[in-house]
Amino acid sequence: MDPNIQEAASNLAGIDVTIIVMYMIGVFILGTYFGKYVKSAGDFFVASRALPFWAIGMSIVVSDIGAMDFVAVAGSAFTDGIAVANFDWIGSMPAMVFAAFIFVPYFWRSGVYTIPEWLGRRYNAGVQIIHAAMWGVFLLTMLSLMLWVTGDELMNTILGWDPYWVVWLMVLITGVYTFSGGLSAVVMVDVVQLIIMFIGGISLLVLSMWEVGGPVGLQEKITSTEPRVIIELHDEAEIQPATVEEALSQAGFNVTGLDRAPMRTKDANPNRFVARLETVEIEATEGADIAAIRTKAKGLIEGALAGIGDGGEENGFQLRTYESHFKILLPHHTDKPYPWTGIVFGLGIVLAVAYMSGNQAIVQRTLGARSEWDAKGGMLFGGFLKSFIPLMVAVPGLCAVVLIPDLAEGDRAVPEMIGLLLPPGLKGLMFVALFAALMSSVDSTLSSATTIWTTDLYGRLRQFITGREMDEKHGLFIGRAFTVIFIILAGFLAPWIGQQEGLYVFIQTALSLFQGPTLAILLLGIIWKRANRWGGLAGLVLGVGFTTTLNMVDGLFPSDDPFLFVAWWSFVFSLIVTIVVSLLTPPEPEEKIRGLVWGQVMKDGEIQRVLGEKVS
Amino acid sequence: MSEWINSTLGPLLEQVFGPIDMLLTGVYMPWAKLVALAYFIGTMAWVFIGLKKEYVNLEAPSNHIWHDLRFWTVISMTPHVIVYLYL
Repeated sequence: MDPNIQEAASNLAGIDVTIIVMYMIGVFILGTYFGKYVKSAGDFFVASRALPFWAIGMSIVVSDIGAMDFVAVAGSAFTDGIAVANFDWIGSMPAMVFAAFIFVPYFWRSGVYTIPEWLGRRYNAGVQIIHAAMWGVFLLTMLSLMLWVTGDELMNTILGWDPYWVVWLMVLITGVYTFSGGLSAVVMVDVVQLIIMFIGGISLLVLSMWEVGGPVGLQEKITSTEPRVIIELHDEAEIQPATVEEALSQAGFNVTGLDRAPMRTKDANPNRFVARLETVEIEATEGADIAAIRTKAKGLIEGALAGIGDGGEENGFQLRTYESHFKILLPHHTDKPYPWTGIVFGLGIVLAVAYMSGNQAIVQRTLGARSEWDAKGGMLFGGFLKSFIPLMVAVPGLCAVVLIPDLAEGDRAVPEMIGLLLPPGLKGLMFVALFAALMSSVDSTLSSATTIWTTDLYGRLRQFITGREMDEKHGLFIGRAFTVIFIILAGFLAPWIGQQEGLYVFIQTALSLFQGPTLAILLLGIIWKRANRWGGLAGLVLGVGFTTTLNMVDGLFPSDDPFLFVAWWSFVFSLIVTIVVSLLTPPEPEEKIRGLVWGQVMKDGEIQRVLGEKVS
Repeated sequence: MSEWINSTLGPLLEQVFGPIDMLLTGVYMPWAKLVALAYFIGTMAWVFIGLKKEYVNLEAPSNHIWHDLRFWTVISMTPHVIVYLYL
């Protein structure tokens, strides 16, 4: 373990440990307190429809931000700059406004517990089951993964705690209060967790900014930081730094310093180096713009490193330049991961809206709102709070460029900054903030997975076999049973799933295939009454097929990981397919879609009255 | 499977997406900023002008301005406009 981090962990005594223990006990008591209000499935899954807007908004934010976001977003800001903040700005606020005024009112008025249930009513059981099965499996996998990644990569790395103990501690606390109080307990604990997360995050922000001399100092220092090349060479023997420095010099670069990167573990590659360059604008790159200069410089570095050691072309490197670290929008052709076209169209218009309107873990809170105004207001308040997340998460990553510029791994920026800057007491609070971020994501995912499995999969199967709908008491029993089964299963599977990188990538990819098509059929289902079951099914199935094709064809889009572009085009494709197939097949009967479509609800007084009775 | 799709559908899709890529590559960056700003401002305008006040504020606790969700939208989104204007 790194000496700084070890020191930080060994300093966790007295006040820090007291804060952590008090937090755990407090959350446990608060969560279980709400158990006394749970008497039916409606109480358990949608909090008796009694949630106020402020609790909804706070819960949405804290459910969305996990402990690993603190690490990964700061890491991305450290290596690629402020453009990563797009995910919480253009990738959240407009989407939450659309969710508030287009989707949420219709979900809330229809009285459903889940998004797949709404899709089932609007289209048919096929669409409901495909959507529910996908999300059901995804949420369960994410539950195990969250537990393990945080237990192992965060708490084990920072505190040196046994990851198995961390996993089972989280299983026990979150499992008991979710089982006991359902959505009410989850949301109210989330409120406390958000406050703690903000206190911890703002402390880190303020101390980081103090150290770098405020916003102006930060910008000046980053833009004047020398470019770095993080180099990883392959050879059985130790390669001397002088060899690497000479190769870079021969390629035309003026190397101002070169050090071996610190080894985090005993079996880490010793041939990792951090080189500082005077500039990447050398004679061979003259006359080009910055994107072309970076591309040419990368080619020159690749050529220089290919001749060292046994690795040949497998020798890897990462070029870090800081000229665009304060640019929120990057050109369409950029070697960084967030081109503006993908950010605005793929993220802002498709992925963000699909996430905020189609993700059960987010939308379930609004379904528990005490009024339609609270459901809408909760979304808007959540968007407002979410605007502050990049300040607490990305800005410390930028400050790390100034304070620890030779860090080889961006993901270590936050752990290093905690060790470096926070005094006792605040350090304990920051660890509590990380626990809060983890637990809020775990409880929300558990609650949503349980709701989908109970309502859309078990409930549908039971109805198919017995012909009867599930009553409230039975729904509560099954919901609680699934809560226990899922959290224990997640605890047992966590170490295995955490080590299956391929499985995680597969699940993430599979989910991303659904985002564009799901948004298309959700949107048309609400705004266009002519959309029918055949259009919805074709839009979903063919849309997923089209997305798969786009993912398989190489070089169509200007990015190594073109998910932002694929999301946009799969949305457009599914929109067209749903419209065409719906027009070619008979419309849905008026009584089936009553209350589920925009124009009808807005204009029909009779529907308003029926819905009012249903909701009350 | 992947090879087959690449060899059969790849050239066809390239015909569709290649020209779009060329078009977007030539976009001047201040235009990109305008598109992002238009997305924020357009969303605010849609809520304020496009939607009925009664729909936006249905079941609001009172008619006071601080319960008007149209103002909540503007207040929440204005800082974003400033950030995208200056960064």
